[in-house]
This record gives sequence, C-alpha cells and structure tokens, in this order.
Amino acid sequence: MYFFSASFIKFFIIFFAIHLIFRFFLKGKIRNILVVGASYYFYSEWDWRFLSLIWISTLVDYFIGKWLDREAAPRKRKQFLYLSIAVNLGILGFFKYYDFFISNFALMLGEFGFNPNISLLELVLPPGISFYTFQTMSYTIDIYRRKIKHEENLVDFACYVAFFPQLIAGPIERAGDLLPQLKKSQSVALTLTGFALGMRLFCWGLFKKLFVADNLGLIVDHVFEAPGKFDTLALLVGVYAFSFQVYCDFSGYSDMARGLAKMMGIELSINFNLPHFSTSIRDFWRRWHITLSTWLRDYIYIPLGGSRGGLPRTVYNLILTMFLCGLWHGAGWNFILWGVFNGVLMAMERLLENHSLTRIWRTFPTLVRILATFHLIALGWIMFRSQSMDIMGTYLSRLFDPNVIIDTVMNFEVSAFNDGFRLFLAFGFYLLPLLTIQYLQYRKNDHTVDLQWPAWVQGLVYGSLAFLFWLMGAEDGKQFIYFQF
Amino acid sequence: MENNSFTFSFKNFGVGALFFCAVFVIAFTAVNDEIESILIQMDPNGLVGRSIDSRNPYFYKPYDVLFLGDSRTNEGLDPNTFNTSYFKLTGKKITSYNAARPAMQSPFFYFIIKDYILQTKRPPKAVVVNGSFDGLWSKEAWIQDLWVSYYNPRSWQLKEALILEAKSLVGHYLFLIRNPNQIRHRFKYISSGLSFHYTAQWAFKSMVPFYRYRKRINSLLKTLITDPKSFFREIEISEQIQNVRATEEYLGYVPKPGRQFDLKEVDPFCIFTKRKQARWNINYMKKFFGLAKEYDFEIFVYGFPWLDNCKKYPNFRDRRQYYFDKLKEIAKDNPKIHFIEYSDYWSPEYFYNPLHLNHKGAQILTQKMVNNIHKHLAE
Repeated sequence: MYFFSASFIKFFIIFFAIHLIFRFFLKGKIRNILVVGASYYFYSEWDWRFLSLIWISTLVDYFIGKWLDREAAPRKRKQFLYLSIAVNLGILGFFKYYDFFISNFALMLGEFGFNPNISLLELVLPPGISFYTFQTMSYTIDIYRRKIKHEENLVDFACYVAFFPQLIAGPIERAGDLLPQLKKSQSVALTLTGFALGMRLFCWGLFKKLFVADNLGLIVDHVFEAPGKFDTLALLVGVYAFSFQVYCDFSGYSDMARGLAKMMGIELSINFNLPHFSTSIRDFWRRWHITLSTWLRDYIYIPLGGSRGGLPRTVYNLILTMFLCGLWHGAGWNFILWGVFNGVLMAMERLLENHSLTRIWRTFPTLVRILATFHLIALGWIMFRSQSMDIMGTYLSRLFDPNVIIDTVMNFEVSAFNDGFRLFLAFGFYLLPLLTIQYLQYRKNDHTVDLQWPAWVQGLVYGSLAFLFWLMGAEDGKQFIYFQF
Repeated sequence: MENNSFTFSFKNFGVGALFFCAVFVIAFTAVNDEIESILIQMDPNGLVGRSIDSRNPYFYKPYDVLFLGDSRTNEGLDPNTFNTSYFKLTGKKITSYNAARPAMQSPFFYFIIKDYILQTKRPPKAVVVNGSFDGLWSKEAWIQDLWVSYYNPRSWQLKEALILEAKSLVGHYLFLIRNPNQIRHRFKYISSGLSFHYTAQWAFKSMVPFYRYRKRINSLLKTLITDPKSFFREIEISEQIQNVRATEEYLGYVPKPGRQFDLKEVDPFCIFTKRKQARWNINYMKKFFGLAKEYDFEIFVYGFPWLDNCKKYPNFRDRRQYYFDKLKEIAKDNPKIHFIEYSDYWSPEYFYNPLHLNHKGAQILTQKMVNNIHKHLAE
C-alpha cells in the first residue's frame, strides 16, 4: 500500500474521518488505540506475517525500557541493554544479513579448498525492519543513558514503534521527540492550517516521487542495464539521474510521511535539507537522511570515541561508522563499498581540514564547491546503484576511459539518436522544476519559501506543477527505493 | 531549514486557494486544446477512436451498406471494391462505408449504428459485421484505452449506457431477492458492458485531453528515452493512419501491404481458448441486433477467414463454431439477422499478419461478401 496508491488514499480518508470523530467525541487514550490499529492494518497490507516481528520488538523494548529505568545497578542495566540490542539486531541480522554472510562465508571456505554444503534461507525482508529496529534501539539506549524516561503506556509505546506514516521508511524518530507528541496529540486540536501544510508537503512529496524520481528512473534503468554501450555523456547523465532519483524517491517519501503526520497534528523530523547544495562531504551528510546520520553519530560514532582520540582514531571511527551505514542499507558488497567510499571521503576531508589547500578551496565560489561535492557523491552512487560488481566495473572504467571520452567529444551531435544528448535533455526536463524551486529554497534557506509568495504566484506554480504531475507523472509508480532497506 | 515562523491564516489560505483554482482552471483550459492538437498526431489509438465519431465528416452520409466490427473487418472489407463488384454483378449502384475499427466491441456496434441512423435519419440497407469472439467479449483494456478515451460521446449515448447499467444492477439484486439461495453470488455482479465507472470515464476522458493522453505521453516519453528509433517509427505509423483516415477516398478502409511473417507468430491466434461467458457483452449485442428490427435493415454476421495453419490445432474449428452458435442464440427470433458461415482457411499470402488480411486478401473477401449478400440487398 504505497502512499500514492488509491488503496492508501481510501485508507487514509477513512482513518482520518474516524480520527476526527475520536478527537471530538472521545477523550483519553483510546485515540492512540485507533492509530495503532490503523498502523497494524497498514503494515499487514504489506505483509501480515511480519506483524509478529513488530510485536516482539515492541514488547521486548517496552519491558526492557521499564526495567532499565527502574534498575539502579549498572551491571544489570548493561545486561538489559545488551538483551534489547541482541533481540533487535538478532531479528534484523537474521532476516537481512543471514544469507549474505553465509554465502560469503561459503565463498571464503571455497577459496581454502573446502566445499561446504550450505543452503541459503532466501528470506523475504520484512518491510521497514531497519527503520523501526533503529527506532526502538534508540529508545532503550536513551533510557540506558538516562536521557529519557520509559513509557508507561503500552499503547502509546506501540504507537511510537508502528506510527504508520513513518513505519516503512522513516524518518527514524527518537522517542524523546515523537512519544510526547503522540501523547500530547490527544489534547491538541487539529488545525486547518496544519492540515493544509500537511497536504502541501504530501503533494510535494508526490510530485518528487512520481514526476521526478520515477521518470528519472527510466533513464537510470536504461543506462545501468548495459553501461558498456554508452558514451561518457550518457554515463554521466545516468549517474546524475540516479543521484536525483534516489533523492526524490526517498525525500519524496519522507515529505509524504511528514505531510500525513502533520495533517494529524504531529511533527516528524526533517530528513533531507537540500543535500544537492552541499559544499563538502561532511555538509552532505548533515543534509542527507538526517535522522539516520544523526542516529549513527549518536549511537555509533560518538560511543566509538568520535573525534576525541586523535586523528588516526577519528579516521578509523569515521570509516567504521560509514561502513556500518553502508551495511545498514543492504546486504551487498556494493552498499558496503559505497559506505566505505563515503567514509574515506569524510576521513580525507578531516585529514586535510587544516591544510593550506583546504583554505584555498574554501575561497572558491560556492557553485564550484557544490559541483565538486556533487560529483564526488555521485561517484559513490554508481556503487550504490550497480546490481553487480561487473556493472560497477564497466561503468567506472568506461566513465574514465580516455578513448571513450575522446569518442564522445568527437562524435557529439545534436540529435535524438545521440544517446548522451537525448538523455541529457530528458534529464533536464524532468529535473528543472524541482531544481528551480530548491534553488529558491536554498537561496532563502527556507523550505517553505513558496508560502511567502503572492497568492497568484503560488497558484501559477502549484498549477503548473500539478499539470506536469498529472500529465507526465509515472502511471504506475515504482516501489520506493528505500523500502528494500 | 524549514521556517515555521511565517504567519499562516485561513484567510490567506482561502485567497491563495481561490487564486490557485483560478490559475489552475485558466492554465488547463488554455493548454487543453493545444495538447490535443499536438498529441493526436502521435496517437494511433486516438486517431482510431475519433475516426468514427461525430468528428468524422465522411461517416454521416447516406450509405447503403456499412461494415462493422474490429480491425479484421476494418482491414478486410474494401468499400470501393464492394461498390464496383456489386455494380458488375447486378448493374446497380450501391454505396458502402467501412465503419469497423480496431478493438470495437458490441457496446460500440450499437452506439455507432444507432448514432448513424439518428444523424442521417436514414438506416442503411445492411450492416455487415464479423462474428468473432472479440466483438462479444469484454476486453476491458481495449474498451478503456481506445473507445472510452477517444470516442466522443453524445449525451444520449451516455444516458443509455447509465440506464442499461442501472437496469442490469437492479436485475442482479432482484434476482438475488427472488433466489435467496443464490446470495453467495451477491458480489458477482457482471456489468452490462459499460460500467458506471467506465461511463464516467467516457464522459470525462473523451473531453479532457490532458487526462486521456496521460498514458500515451508516458509511453511515448519512455520510448523516446530508451529507443528513439521505435519512437520515430510510431510517429510515422500515426502519420500513415492519419493520412488514410483523413481522406474520403478509402471510405474508412485501411489497406495493408503484403508481408512475410513467421508462421511461429500464428500460435497465439490459433490456440485461443473459450473465454468466460460472464465477461460477454450480450446486452449490447442484443440491442445491436434489435436495431435491425426497429429500423428495418439487415445485419449480416460473417465468419472471418483464418490461416491454413490453424487447421492443425485441435478443436480449433469447434471453438470457432462455439462463438458463432452463441451469436445465433442471441439473434434467435430476429429475422433481420443473417449468418454467413464460411469456414474458410486461407493461404498466408493473403494475410498481413496471422490475424489480418492484406489488401490482396481483402479484395477476395470483399468479392465473396458481394456474392453472398447481393440477393438480400436486391430484395
């Protein structure tokens, strides 16, 4: 049940109507029972069998949170924490990584002349497992750190774990942010303003997903299917297109999730802050998938020592954190490589932080630094998107092959039959509306810059976007890329 | 980052919404016609659906014979040959027009002929229709992509579609009330042929180009990105169709050149199986046959020739006969309906592809048609 499907729209209208009735006529905690019920129904539409995993996660962390909060002995507290982490990571590891590790282990044994007869489980990945597992883990860790108190009410806690707008692909919310809102929302009246803003966010997310991401996906699929037959320009367009596809796909989902929550009076965290306008790798990771980046920072990087243990230790911590970030994204070497690549870039940036070259680099125009960062990040996306090491190798080697580059320049022509030119035009066409609006947001450093425009400008812009979306938005939206994580 | 400090009031929102709606409507109205004029050139479905509705000036003339049916009749019966052969055979002049179009099914047999009669105020002497399963069977994708999207409806057509569907729905529930033991079938309602949903789509889609071209523009852009050669080939085909449709010379017929095709292509057409009777548009077929009685003209239902190779497929002949018999059952007690049964199997040289005749084949079929029906017409 994707957010853009008719079945979801029906579900949400019915849910929202009942939610309103509950809000006006019923007091107390019963409203969150409705939200939990709706969330479980929403999830069961994906795969009802995996509801049990959510229940296990909910119950384990609810009770461990309670015991952790009440327990004073550090040793016992640590044991409770380990138990929670073991259960959560155990479930995640089993469903997500078992086959990956086993197959690689078998491969390794094969290198040493052993031929173990290991069969793979070929398990289906439960939707949203990486997201809600990290969310519940943050809850117990925060209680362990005495940052928050445990939640007494099981329904409210279940609502925090399974809140349907962000259940499948985040944002990964901290209990300290979301739980008080879920509890408070029982007394806060819904406002028309909130509803309108939520609707605006939802529609913007829809546009990002169905007009930009899914249409750019056509270019990406075409180029990544057989990179060996394309020239340098087409390969560049392919990876540019993927950079924006993955961004619009995921941030589109996040916007829709935030929009839905906002309609219900709940503020979810901002997950993306114009990442394509980053001027450095570190800046990029402050703007990209913010709730995961901050999770990794707070629960992995800082506990590892952060930047407190000297430069070598910092570099190690950065690369290790980003390695785990890559692994979180998927059980595949391409994701691990992507994570490590980004870790290395961040480490290099840290190593060169006080170098004179960096000082000179900072004097360069912002646009140059944005473009340089974009291209470095884009290089990583080739690893992320490639379905096999062969494709990755072909893509990278061909992209940097001087002969192919010379051929591309020499044979360039303005023609629909020139792959690079044609794909570039299509890429520009699908991207231009988004880029224009985001540039204005970037200039004003305000995501809601459009709301300050005169009403007729808003009408014109929204009307044009709606028109584009309606006429050229993908007919059958694809699955969100981040659902597989 | 997100700035939540702006002031937002319902008043502002209301003004914005009004402006939004106004600009939205103006923008849509302005570009609606432009989109139509650009995209119709690139859309074979659109060219087909529009070529037999109120926008076709050549159709609404007093013809003696109309050919009706799907693409096989459209490409298989040549009115010019028919008129000439008839004159040669009888010494009398006759006029005919090929009103068959790809994917046409019984709801549109009925609507097109009735509209023709209402507009010209003169029924044809005869309507010749191919009696295949496709005319009867409700292939919803065809109805939706072609007819519901492009055929320009008149208000009486929409009204009749709604009434027939409502009657059908009421009939279903009356049946359940009278037969409580059949209550398990309460959700198995079968549409009369054009459901409320389709009728609403018909009214809306055929009027609003940006809505009906959504599918087409997506597929065109996809083709342009992945395979520009196919894209330009599609545009070329559209131009060819438009050229043929835009002239009166062909009288609605689309001639096809001969083409060598791989006999392996034959399989999908010869291995067709019985389709669920529940999905048949029997209501509209009955109404179509009823027009002949009401307006006093003859309907000739003929069996379309198949490839020689189909003979080797087990029970092929029986399955063909099965559909023909169903049509006979529907036409029972209607003296205006005639069945022309040739179980012909022809050589591949007469076919453009395994299902459609080329121009050479069309000439032969048309000649046979004249031989079969000239006596009826003389009466």
